[in-house]
Amino acid sequence: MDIAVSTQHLTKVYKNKAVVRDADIQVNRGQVYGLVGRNGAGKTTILRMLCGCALPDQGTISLFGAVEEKGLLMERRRIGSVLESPSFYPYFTAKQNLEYYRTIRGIPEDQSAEEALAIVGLTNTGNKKFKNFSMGMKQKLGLALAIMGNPDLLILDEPTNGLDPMGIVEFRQIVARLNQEKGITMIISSHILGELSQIATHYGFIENGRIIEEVSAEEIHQRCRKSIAFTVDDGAKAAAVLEQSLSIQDYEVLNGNQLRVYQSIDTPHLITRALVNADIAVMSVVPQESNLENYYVELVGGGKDA
Amino acid sequence: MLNYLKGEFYKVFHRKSFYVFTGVISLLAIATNVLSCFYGGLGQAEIFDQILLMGLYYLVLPAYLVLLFTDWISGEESKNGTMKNAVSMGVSRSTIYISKFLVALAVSFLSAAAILLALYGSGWLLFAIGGGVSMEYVTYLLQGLMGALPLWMACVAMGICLNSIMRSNILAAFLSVGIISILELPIMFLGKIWAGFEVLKPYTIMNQLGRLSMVAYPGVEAGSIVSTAALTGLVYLVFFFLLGLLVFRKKEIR
Repeated sequence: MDIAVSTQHLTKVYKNKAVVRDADIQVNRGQVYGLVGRNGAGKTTILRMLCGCALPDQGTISLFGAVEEKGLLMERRRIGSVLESPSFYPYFTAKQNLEYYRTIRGIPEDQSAEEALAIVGLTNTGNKKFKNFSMGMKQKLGLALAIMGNPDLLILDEPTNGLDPMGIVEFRQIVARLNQEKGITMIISSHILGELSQIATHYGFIENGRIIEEVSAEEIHQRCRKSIAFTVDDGAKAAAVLEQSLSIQDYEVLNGNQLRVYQSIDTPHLITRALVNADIAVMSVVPQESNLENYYVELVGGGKDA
Repeated sequence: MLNYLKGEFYKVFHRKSFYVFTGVISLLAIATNVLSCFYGGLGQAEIFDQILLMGLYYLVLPAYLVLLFTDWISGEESKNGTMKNAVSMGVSRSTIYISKFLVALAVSFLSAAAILLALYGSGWLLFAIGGGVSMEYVTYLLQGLMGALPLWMACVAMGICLNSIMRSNILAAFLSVGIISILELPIMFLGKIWAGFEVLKPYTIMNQLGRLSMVAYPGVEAGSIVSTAALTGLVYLVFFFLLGLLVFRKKEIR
């Protein structure tokens, strides 16, 4: 698998406080990587370092295989990004702003700005200056800048901030389309986990500047799917009962005395009866259904500001 | 770098401010000449000589005016938070810094050329056409411009430097104006602590621009005044250019 972005021991210190510590992330080509963490966890700082706006105090960044500064500069030309809030020249229109950046990037196609505006649905802003844009329009223009020139990697920091519900849906559709049709790799940081869970293929969970887990959406889906948790006195014996008496194959034994059963979950009473009949003590039976939010909260041990 | 230069020119030439600023100053220059014509009469060649001479006394003005261009070109990046866009596109910081300096210089020259053309062109049409121009006064003016040019370029370098390394463009503007106008004061204060600092007193931008008006005085060695001003300007230029470049390359971009 081609690696688009990776970091090793990435560290950033502000005023003697490490806001990013030893962060190792890996994003393969074609992935939509959700960077998840609470406010101040270090998400934006990592993205800023990837984009060259902040310089790491320790560690290395690799973009499409380039590690040296000169190579990183070259590879950043393949990146489109929106860091924090979208920033543009207030006295320019949407098109003028994009034309300015098209010139800087050396994108030869004259229609690039128009195309990007069309993709995000901003073609009808005419002579309206950026300073008069609504928050949603600003976010869309930020996305238009990021996608102009067909980048290979998109880095989007809280891209749905300020968008109304319809705007969020549109944004999700645009991002999903870009990923699926053009194969653009994406790193998206977001607080809105429900939203992120609909587009991300992989996740990096960050807490206090440390990447505490990298996991695929598939794996999270597996871990979060509906199940029944049985607490028993003998996990191994209970597993044998599940397989031999009930023909259940889809289950896990956790910590020796916990069973997580994913099959036949509509008939917990039958499983309980079979276990009891086999002389296994059943201490609790709890139906489980989780999602990305619950998974994250469990992972970081709870908190108000996730 | 060429792309970035093109982009910066696009930004300057696609906003009204550049045209309004240059146009208003040019119109003021023309209006001054028309008023002089109203009081002094048409075709009075000596009035044009006075206009040429007057230029020497206003050499300090462009030092302040170029700060406006450095604010548009560099200072507004921090105000609007737009610098991160260019940096994250893989444009090297050195390219950004050097390009901004070059564009600020070019735009300043262009604006200055338009204003000077308006001032001296209208003056020549109103007062000197057919009557001849005193080459003596033209020489004084050219000498003044030769000395002032590096000092003005130093002001551009200072504006780009301070706007690039400071977070607030307003603070950068105040500091730039302070360095041009009242640098003599801290030098005097430091001179009280150690007399060696007094040596620096004549070498402020304001003093050097002021001294250039003396090239028209009789018995004054104009060459020395002009070369001292030019050298002082070059020292300021190199200092501010390098300081800004070194700091900007490591600066946290917000």
